[in-house]
Amino acid sequence: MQKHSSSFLSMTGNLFLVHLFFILLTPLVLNLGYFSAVLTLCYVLVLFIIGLKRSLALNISALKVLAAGYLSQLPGIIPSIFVIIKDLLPFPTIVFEFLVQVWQTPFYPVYPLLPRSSVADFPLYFMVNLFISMIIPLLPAAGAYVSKIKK
Amino acid sequence: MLVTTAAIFLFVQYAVFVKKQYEKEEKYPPTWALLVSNAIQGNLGNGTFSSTPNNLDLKLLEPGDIILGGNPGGSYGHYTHAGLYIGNNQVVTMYTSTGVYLEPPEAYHRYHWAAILRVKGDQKQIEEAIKYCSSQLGAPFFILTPKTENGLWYCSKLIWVAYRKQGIDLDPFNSYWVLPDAFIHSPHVQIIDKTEVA
Repeated sequence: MQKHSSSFLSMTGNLFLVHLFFILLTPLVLNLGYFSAVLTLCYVLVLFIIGLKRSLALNISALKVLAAGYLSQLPGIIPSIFVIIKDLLPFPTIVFEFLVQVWQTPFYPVYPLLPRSSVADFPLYFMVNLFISMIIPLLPAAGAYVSKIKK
Repeated sequence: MLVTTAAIFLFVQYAVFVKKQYEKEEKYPPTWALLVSNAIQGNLGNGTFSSTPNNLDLKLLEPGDIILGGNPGGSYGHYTHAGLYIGNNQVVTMYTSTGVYLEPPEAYHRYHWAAILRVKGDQKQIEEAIKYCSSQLGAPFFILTPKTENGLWYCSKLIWVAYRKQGIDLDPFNSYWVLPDAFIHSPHVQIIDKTEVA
């Protein structure tokens, strides 16, 4: 039981640290213009590979990898919820908008490529920002699932 | 972990020290020192808006003018927000959750202090700068973007790029970011009106 929980926390830590690493790396490559989108693709690939390799090494299921993914994305998920329900809150959510933006830094290189349209009063890129934390954990989980099938 | 924490602590202290030194010499501090010092004091975003409107004279606005707003507790300097007046009661500007969009100049009455700046350029340069800013409507806002990248914007960066493309560099500080304060210190602008809530 203890081994399972430490594997779960180890996976969470891996995903969290990789995300932090890409937050720091992204502003450094933004000067490359549209080529900086390659970094976002690298991040997506790294998440899949982490799921693929680490789930075998730590011997944890795809479902636990998914849960670890959601735990590691809480710094994006929590402020996103505040922004989504901002009309119901008695305080301004500008700090949460700022936090979502900084947390989702690894995805900003692709936002200039998105159509400049709006969804529910938010620009499309910001809407993606609000929901991407719910999608990111699917990538390592998919990697873990593939590794189990191959096994 | 301990080394990282100590390094961050020393960096923050150094930023506060640098900012104080520059202020003592009545010089504008480096952008990084300003941002770190303000953040550590809990000053984030645009600060606290005024409950009474300022009396900035919006009738003086001409297309191509820069309009600035600032509040106590803002993170980006004295002025924390900038927009470009494009005529027809419209200012091109942006916030985190809006991207580049249009707002009425009356929005700048909410700030504790505000200013109107006129760029010293010819008619063609000003028209082209307006055209460039307008062409970016709907583009994404991102505060961490370097000022030399094109595609992700924050309020003062879009104005800086629009005029730089016309050969007018409005950033006298030449740093990674261009903050609204840079414009009021630029030799390429004329201050048309400047006000603050009493």
